Amino acid sequence: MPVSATYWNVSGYVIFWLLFAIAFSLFAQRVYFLFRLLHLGQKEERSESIGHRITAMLVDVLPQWCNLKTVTRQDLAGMGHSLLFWGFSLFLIGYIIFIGFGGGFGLSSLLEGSKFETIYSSILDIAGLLVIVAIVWAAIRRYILKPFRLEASMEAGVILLLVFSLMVLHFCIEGFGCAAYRAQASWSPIGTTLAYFLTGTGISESTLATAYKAVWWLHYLVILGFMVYIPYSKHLHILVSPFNVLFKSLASKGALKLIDPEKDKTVGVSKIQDFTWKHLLDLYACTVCGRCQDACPACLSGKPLNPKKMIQDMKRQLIVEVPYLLKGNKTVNTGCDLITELVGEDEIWECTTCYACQEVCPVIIEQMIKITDMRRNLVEQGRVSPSVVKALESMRSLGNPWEQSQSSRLDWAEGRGVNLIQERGEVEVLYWVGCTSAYDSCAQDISRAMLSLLDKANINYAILGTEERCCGDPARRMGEEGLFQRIARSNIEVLKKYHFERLLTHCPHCFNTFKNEYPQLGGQFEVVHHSQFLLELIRAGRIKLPEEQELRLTFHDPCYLGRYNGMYDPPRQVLQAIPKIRMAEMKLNKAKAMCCGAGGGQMWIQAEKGRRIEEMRFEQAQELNVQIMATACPYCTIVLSEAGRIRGATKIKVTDIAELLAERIKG
Amino acid sequence: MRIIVCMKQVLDNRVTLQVNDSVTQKEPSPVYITNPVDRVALQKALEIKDLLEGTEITAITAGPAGAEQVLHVALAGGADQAIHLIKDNTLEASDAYTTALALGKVCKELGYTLILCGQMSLDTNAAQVHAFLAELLGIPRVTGVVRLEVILQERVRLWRRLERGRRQVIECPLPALLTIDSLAGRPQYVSEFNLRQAAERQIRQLTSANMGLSQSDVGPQAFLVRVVSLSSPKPRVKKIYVPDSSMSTSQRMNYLLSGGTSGRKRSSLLEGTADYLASQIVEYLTKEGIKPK
Repeated sequence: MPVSATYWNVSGYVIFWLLFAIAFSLFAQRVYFLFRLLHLGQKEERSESIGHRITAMLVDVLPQWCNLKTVTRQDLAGMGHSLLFWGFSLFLIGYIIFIGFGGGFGLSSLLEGSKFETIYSSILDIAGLLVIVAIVWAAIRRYILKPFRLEASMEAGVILLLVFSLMVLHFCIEGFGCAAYRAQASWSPIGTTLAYFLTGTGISESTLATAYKAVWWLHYLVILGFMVYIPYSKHLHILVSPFNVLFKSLASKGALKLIDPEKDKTVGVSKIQDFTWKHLLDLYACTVCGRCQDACPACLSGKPLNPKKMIQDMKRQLIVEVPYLLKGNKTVNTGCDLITELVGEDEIWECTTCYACQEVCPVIIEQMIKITDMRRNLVEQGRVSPSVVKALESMRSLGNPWEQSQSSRLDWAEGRGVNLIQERGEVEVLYWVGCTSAYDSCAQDISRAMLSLLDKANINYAILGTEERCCGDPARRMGEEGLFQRIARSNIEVLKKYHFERLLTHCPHCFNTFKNEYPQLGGQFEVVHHSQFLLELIRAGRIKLPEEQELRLTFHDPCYLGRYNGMYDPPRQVLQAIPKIRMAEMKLNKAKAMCCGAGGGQMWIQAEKGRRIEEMRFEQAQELNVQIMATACPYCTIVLSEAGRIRGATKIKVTDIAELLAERIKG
Repeated sequence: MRIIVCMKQVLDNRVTLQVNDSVTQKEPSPVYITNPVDRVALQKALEIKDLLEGTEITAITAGPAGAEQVLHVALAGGADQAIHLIKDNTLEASDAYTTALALGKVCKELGYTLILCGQMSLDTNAAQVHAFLAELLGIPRVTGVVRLEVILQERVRLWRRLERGRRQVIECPLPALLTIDSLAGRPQYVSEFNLRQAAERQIRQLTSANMGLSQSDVGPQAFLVRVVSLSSPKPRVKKIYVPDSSMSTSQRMNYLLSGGTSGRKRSSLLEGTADYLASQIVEYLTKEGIKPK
């Protein structure tokens, strides 16, 4: 072992531990600094059910499910990362055992020649090869292929080079070591090959031994350098991301955090220190992989909002500009205004809250939540665009975001009998129509279709009629938390007045709000989305679908049904129950489905920049040979059919699954 | 500087009103909002406050119990204090004159440098109260103000809205009453949390009795205007130009949605790259002689 030798009259052990002490103090100083910065954030409870958290983290990180979940035919990069992760983890263990214990503590005599060493170094040899493959792949991707989501940064280059040199040095150590000390029976395929080659060259053993020592120390230096570099670079994620996964939110995806104006000092976020510590930890965990940017509909349509850039800007802000807060009083209200100076107001209003960024993020960063938090602050300050004001004030005074009067809420059902719960008393199903399907002429078709299906299936149902109001979803997504709470509380009061078993709605936004957000305010109802409900009716034989001509269709996943509530299959199963149907899937489907562009209040926000998201989504359906683009959300139905009209595409009809069934039954 | 902003609670005109009998109107579930242009007036007052230190804004409303909602909006928006003239039996069905009489009393008592009113209310569209108020207080009144500057706290420079985008700039000594045009600005959004906080603040309540006004001063016999009859509007006939049948469906839809163009001139919708569009526009301008060659 080169550590046991003496260099210029200094023991190798002294050099070893001196170097380690220098490197470790640099490393620890930085880590402590970063840790202290986290304390600038607000408090948040994230350690409940810790056992469950630890298991979930291990399941996610060790098998690299966090990365592999995003692998598609278009993007195989997660596999490269997995190779690197597994390979490098083996090396890390190897470093601790062979360099730390074997070298530093002088225990190499226990290891040398042992079966463990033979086996482990052979494994390392192969792992090293795999890591090299992954690194070359990564380099090719970064510097030659250049996919949209990656930038060829210096940082990435340095790390690739460091890891690459570590692998090469490892092989050299094996090679020189074997050649110099004539070690036999080593299985390491690359190490022994190299040794065989070196012995053949006729270099003297003492030269080989010197070379071995030099390479060993160089290797050690690179490892230490790597350790110091990690917390200064984006590779901080090696340290942080397991914790970020450990402290991920256990609340349901569909519920934004409830604000209590009595307790919470600030509503929303305007400065970096207004975020909770977990949101700050998010910033450290980001690896700049750009998967969020690749999934973000705003970014894809050429709008300035870019979740990756947002997180990176915030990280820079936190590390570079905020530390002066550490010195002084934490409560001093200083620091740059995130909204105007860093992210930009327009960007904040461009988010459709489609959840695609958070769904795809391997380290579970909460990009979208940060945006809604900033919206909350903008609303508190009254900094909202006129179109948002219109929608919010309409929700406040009129009870719907469409600027329509409550008395015309039942106009959609004109000329047909509706069961009102006020008259019916106790019912099995309370059908919540929703504002959009009550007032929008395009979406009214869905509610009318639902009525005919409910009648056909002989369901004991009723609607709230003019007592129904907005569910509050648009207000909450637009950041108007106070208004949401008022609306939700009064709705809960109304709903509790009546007797019904299940609350049925065909709007995924209402569905999500009832299911995930009303419980925060004490409203527990058994909520069912029409896709589940219709599937039940079909399976129970209460709706019979006659055979008709063949129909080719595709299904567009509404974000609040799919990503938020994991209901990818029920609407598909409803469609497949229609005889002679031929389903085709769009390239982006299920968890990767692209948003229609109308969620998160976007229905009422006029996006000015970039392409229209709904048009891009419609084009994806046009790539398939289909006649119908089915969906299960009134927003999607409205904007996608509008996109079809704008594109002059009369061949593809956008329709809700309920309309599709109702049409068949009529015949 | 003391600024008084007069604000009114009005029926939301997005809710269709029904004529009840010949002189009253009815809505099954009435929705009340703050008169939007009054909120613009408040906005202007807040802008002055931002520039001039020591400015104090008082919001006043005259209306029945429940009209204090308007004052919550004002307080949440940044007004310093609020006064509610409760329309009790005496003031219940007051007309513009008697409302101005009561407002005038309060203004005199408070003292003021500037009184800001919205140009018109959304419900009656009368634009009368401020005229009476200025007359009763004996101060100048300037209508249709879209922009204002306070000069040395003794006069104001005002930009008045005239026809077709023209502006008249005038100066007026203080104290004065200004009526603010809806083009003057945009009211700030007031969040629910802020409203809730404002609702807990104190509002001074005054009745005609404790202002020293009697039935003969503000009662029906003092009214200058009486509603004689009320009728529902006839639906307006909308002109729709028939689009060219050679257009595609989507083009025709766009055409109709844009309200059509005059039948005489053919407009053409260009499509293509930015470079192509720019070259086409330049060509058109040159052809029409708008752009010098």
